Amino acid sequence: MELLRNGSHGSEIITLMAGDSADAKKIIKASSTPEGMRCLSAELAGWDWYQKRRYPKRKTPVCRVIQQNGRYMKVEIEYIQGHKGEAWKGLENNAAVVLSALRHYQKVWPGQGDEKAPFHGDLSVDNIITNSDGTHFIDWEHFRAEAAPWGFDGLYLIFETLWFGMRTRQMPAEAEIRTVIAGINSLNSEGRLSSRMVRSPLRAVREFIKENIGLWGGQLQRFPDKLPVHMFSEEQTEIIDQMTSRGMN
Amino acid sequence: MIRCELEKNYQKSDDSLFLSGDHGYWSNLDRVENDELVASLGQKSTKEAIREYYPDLFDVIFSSKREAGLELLELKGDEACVDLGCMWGALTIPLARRCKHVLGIDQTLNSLKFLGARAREEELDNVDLLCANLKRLRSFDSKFDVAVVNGVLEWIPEEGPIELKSYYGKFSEKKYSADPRQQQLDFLRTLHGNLSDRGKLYLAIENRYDYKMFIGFKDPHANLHFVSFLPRRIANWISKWRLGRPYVTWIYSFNGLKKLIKEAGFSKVDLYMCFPDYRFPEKIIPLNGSLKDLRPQSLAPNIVVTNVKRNIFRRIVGGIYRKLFARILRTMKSTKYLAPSIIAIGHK
Repeated sequence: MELLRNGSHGSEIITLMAGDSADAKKIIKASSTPEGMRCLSAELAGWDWYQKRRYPKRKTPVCRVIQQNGRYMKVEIEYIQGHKGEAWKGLENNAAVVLSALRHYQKVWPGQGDEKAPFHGDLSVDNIITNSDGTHFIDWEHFRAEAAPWGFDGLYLIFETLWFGMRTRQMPAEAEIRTVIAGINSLNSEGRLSSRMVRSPLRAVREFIKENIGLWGGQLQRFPDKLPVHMFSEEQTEIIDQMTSRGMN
Repeated sequence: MIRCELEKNYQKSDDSLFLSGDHGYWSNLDRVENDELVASLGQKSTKEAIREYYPDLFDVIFSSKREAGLELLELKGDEACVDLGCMWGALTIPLARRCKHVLGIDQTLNSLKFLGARAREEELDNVDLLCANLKRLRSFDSKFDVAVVNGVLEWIPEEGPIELKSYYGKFSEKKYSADPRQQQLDFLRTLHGNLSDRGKLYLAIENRYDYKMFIGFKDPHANLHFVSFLPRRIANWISKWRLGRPYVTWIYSFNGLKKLIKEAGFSKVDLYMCFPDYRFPEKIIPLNGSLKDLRPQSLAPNIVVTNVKRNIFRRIVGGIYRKLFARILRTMKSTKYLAPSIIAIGHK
């Protein structure tokens, strides 16, 4: 048993790895706080939804409850072996992962435009695993079945990865903007993004977060840096959206 | 079963608090502060009281980060547990949420009154408390499945009341009657005898060879440089010279701790490295595991520093040393023995 994360980024969940050999490895998540248990229930619901879309032939659940008594909850999640990206390396170094994740999003996610679609809530490069079976999204602690306009999680992924690369710079590099444009074009190849999201994608994402802060429970109050997209300045938002829309035209 | 035994053998103070008559005092707060804190509980909840009077202790008592190590016990939910030296219940309450029954034992009556109030607020009716000296603990007829000894073993050799603020690193002449290791061993043997056949021990303690001790950090119990890893005799001289008393709050290396627990009768001991410490662990890795994923932030101590200048200094210097040591720990295999804290799971 190994402790991987302990309530990181304001969460109240303990994450462990159990099992010695690669085949026997499992991820264990546990919590004894109401907020943590709410997130574990969301994790369970998220995996249930994703499993039906991503692994429809699979009979056994990827995520299951192994202990629950009203004051404590523990779930077990199948360990997916593969390459896990590192968001802090920025968009240029993660371009391939981001673009393949956006294709995966488009394939898996139902809906279009402003109608409420399923919500991952933390679609970061750190929560994407790629292997010979393709792309897999993990960490469904903020899942809601109908909560965000279609494309929100995909756009969030693009701009969070962009933010990590821009931490020490005010403005994005040309190459980064090209990846942002490629990502939005890929996401919108079937015209499923709302016009607002195409026109000013970063602002749309930021405003959605601001107006729906409750979707992340108390986590954003405890750890405001949890969603880095939140940390772009007004000026940066304006300029990035302008550069993006210029490039798309 | 345990409750019946408590009712039979000890004086009942309230619904869940039992008195052995052999009380003592060990607390971060002095007696007046502790009395005032407990007196305030009629008007305030435990969280409100700590937030108002001792905000620096809030996370120490209530943070959910503190309970991560309990997962190593792989509890099923039907266990009877004992938390030895439970204080304000940082682990007693999380254990009660996970298990069938928990007995918290501590020598400080006010700490138990606070913990009793906390358990009532959470409507946990599976918590009993016993005020008793851990060194003179009697054996129980009903056996426990889990014994928790969290930051307690090192304090077993100490004697007399301890108000930490006026004791930690302060001069106070004192003589001790017995060998520290022998006292710790006797304590663990009694505990072993109180465990069921499937019983497990959860023991968390600082590492004697914590890498920070070699670069100028002070021993966490005596507040002196180098005493944790120096030979005990030299540590004694230093402690007598600086504090007027010998060095008795013995902590151990991985091998030293394993030997001690085995000597107490446990058949198997699993050892874990703990970063940045066992109280607020960010990473817990089996001793035979790999440190390749260790990040500098896992070495950052969870200490609230309110002084601005010290905070800036801590951030800059701390950032540099954490990067350096994370790299050293990741690359050199034998450095795992320099992990800051140890968690040992002993199997009966």
